[in-house]
Amino acid sequence: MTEPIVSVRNLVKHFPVRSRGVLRRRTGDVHAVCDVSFDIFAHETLGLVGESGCGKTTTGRVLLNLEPATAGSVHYRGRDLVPLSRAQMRPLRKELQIVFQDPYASLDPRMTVTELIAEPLRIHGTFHDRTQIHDLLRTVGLDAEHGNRYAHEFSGGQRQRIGVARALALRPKVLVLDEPLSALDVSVQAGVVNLLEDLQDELGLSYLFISHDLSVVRHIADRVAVMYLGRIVETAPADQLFREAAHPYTQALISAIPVPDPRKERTRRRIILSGDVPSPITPPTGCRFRTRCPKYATQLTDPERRRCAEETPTLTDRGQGHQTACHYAEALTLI
Amino acid sequence: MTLLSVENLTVGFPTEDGQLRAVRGVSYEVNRGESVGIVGESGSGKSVTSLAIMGLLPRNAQVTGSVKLLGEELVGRTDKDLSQIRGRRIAMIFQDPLTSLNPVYTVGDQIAEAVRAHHGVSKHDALRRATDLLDIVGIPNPKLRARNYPHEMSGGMRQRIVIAIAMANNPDLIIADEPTTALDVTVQAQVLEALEAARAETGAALVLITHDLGVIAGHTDRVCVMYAGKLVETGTVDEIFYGPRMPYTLGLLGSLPRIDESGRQRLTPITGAPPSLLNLPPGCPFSPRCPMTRDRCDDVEPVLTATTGPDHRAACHFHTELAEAKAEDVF
Ligand SMILES: Nc1ncnc2c1ncn2[C@@H]1O[C@H](COP(=O)(O)OP(=O)(O)OP(=O)(O)O)[C@@H](O)[C@H]1O
Ligand SMILES: Nc1ncnc2c1ncn2[C@@H]1O[C@H](COP(=O)(O)OP(=O)(O)OP(=O)(O)O)[C@@H](O)[C@H]1O
Ligand code: SF4
Ligand SMILES: [Mg+2]
Ligand SMILES: [Mg+2]
Repeated sequence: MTEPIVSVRNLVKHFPVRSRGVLRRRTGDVHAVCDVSFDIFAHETLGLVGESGCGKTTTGRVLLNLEPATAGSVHYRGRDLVPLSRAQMRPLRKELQIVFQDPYASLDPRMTVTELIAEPLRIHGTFHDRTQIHDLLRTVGLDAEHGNRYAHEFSGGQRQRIGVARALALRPKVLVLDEPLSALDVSVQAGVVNLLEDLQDELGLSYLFISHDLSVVRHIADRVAVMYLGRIVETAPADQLFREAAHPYTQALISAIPVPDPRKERTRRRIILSGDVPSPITPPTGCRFRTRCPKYATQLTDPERRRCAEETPTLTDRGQGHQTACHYAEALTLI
Repeated sequence: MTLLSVENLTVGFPTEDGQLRAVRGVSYEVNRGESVGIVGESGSGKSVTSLAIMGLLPRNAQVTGSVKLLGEELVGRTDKDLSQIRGRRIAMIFQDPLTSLNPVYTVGDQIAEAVRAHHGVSKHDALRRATDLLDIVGIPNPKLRARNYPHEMSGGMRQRIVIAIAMANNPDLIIADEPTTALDVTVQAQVLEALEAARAETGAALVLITHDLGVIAGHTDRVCVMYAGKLVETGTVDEIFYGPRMPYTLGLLGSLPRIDESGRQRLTPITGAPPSLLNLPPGCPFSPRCPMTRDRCDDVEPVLTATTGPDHRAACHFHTELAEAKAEDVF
């Protein structure tokens, strides 16, 4: 088997919680990312999904060493990034880029599009002339004359293209895309999705595609990892995950996604979760999903439940790259 | 029986750059107990239309046309009249539940208050009813939760409190404007379930505004597609999803990635952006983005006309060409 280009092992990220007042004593930790492991291969898209606050952005930022890890390792082409200083990271930055969610906030309004795209090139001393910028604009489907305008003169979809052009300027190998579509109207999202797919095919990029939109993820990702409260609870090739989800959380997630097909919607089975996501400061013992798990609530015996409460389920192989972290995992077809 | 009838509604806002025509002649009806979905891109006029129906627009808004609730005209009524009608007959659910909740009262008290306003019951009975309603909208431990203040609850729970209050008011019509847009999908499913429970309990009709075609597919009987301040297609939910007759609708459906389909079929984006509502050129507002456009489209604005049936209507000069059309062939 080929070597992964990025290999994340047992990654942990805690944020301190401090008391109010002058002393600001450390009173606990937000367990944002807990023992997360995954690989990204060349020319592949790994989708990272899960609900708000489950730790997707933090995982992406720690992976790129924009945020120090509490524990664990991130190997990029064989080299661990976690212990590297800013200066040591610098030459690698070119190869590891990020595209942010909000195309409105992430572009400096005082710079023209040409300046925006040239900026990363200048920082890394690889800016030669304007044809580089024109090529990049063309790559993301914009015209050369767009270069003299300011970001606010563009629509959301065009701004997101500018963000992608900026990230591509340094010819990266790995792109972390953090909710790159969520600020866009659906008719516009489709164009950016197509663009990302084309760029991957042409340039052989690897993507970590972070999103809470499972429909987009099924479309774009080769493999998917599902996060809940800081942990990966299930991972599988995309089609397999949607066909045979085996973790109760993944199942609830899939069943909750509305499908734009009235006949299917009328007959679909919905798994409605009760309650809210617990606080990541005091996550439940054992399985973190147990406080909302329909299986735990209605299908298990007391001794079985005790196991969910006492023993943390770990990712267990179900074959064909499908792993599930549930003591009582059972495949279910929901779509 | 017709509950709500909107006729040729227009809304304009005076701005420094001239009149902004946010709603340009919208007509539709809602029958008792049915659910009507309104979809459309950001800025197409969905919210302004429903705010106009409720009489909740800012004072500078210029409204013409007619809005009748059970035959009674609402346009031109005083604020006092309207607020009575709203409380009694129409409930509105907004994207941000905090706009509808009072921060200084417990949620139980707020629901009980609505119960008492409509049924002359004792305080104690009203509180009991409030607890029942919390249970119906799927709040765990309703007795305990009734004593919480809004800020002690999550966004999804707050939205269900708003729905419980709407239920206590026993309205004829619920207008929900993007009620789940800010929420995670599993929470969205809880809120939509609560909304269905509220309809089952009260028999209220629903106008559901959303940009999510999946939500429309699962929760509405009929659909209105809005574009640049007008309805450009209306029909039953099946007519709209399985046989759209307006290129914009076809394009929207084609641009959606599907969770129920595998593989990388190419999506068909609609290029460009909606027009400015300040200086709309003549002709079809979708023309600059429409792959089927020809001269006539830029000269004459198409009106809603009957297509496959009297109630399936589309605003496109060439709607007959869309019979059996696929998005990937047209776009
Ligand atoms: N700098 C920080 N300090 C303290 N807590 C943080 C910090 N950044 C993130 N968190 C917390 O860590 C957890 C994970 O946050 P993260 O932003 O990674 O989630 P996410 O999955 O990206 O959510 P969303 O879908 O809302 O973007 C949350 O509980 C969040 O409040
Ligand atoms: N008070 C106002 N003054 C001036 N223009 C307004 C006002 N309210 C809304 N508009 C404009 O009216 C148009 C329609 O807005 P509306 O809020 O109805 O859109 P929408 O379809 O609800 O969009 P979204 O999906 O983003 O909620 C927009 O161009 C908007 O900028
Ligand atoms: S381990 Fe137990 S609580 Fe956790 S998902 Fe599986 S059945 Fe549910
Ligand atoms: Mg995030
Ligand atoms: Mg709106």
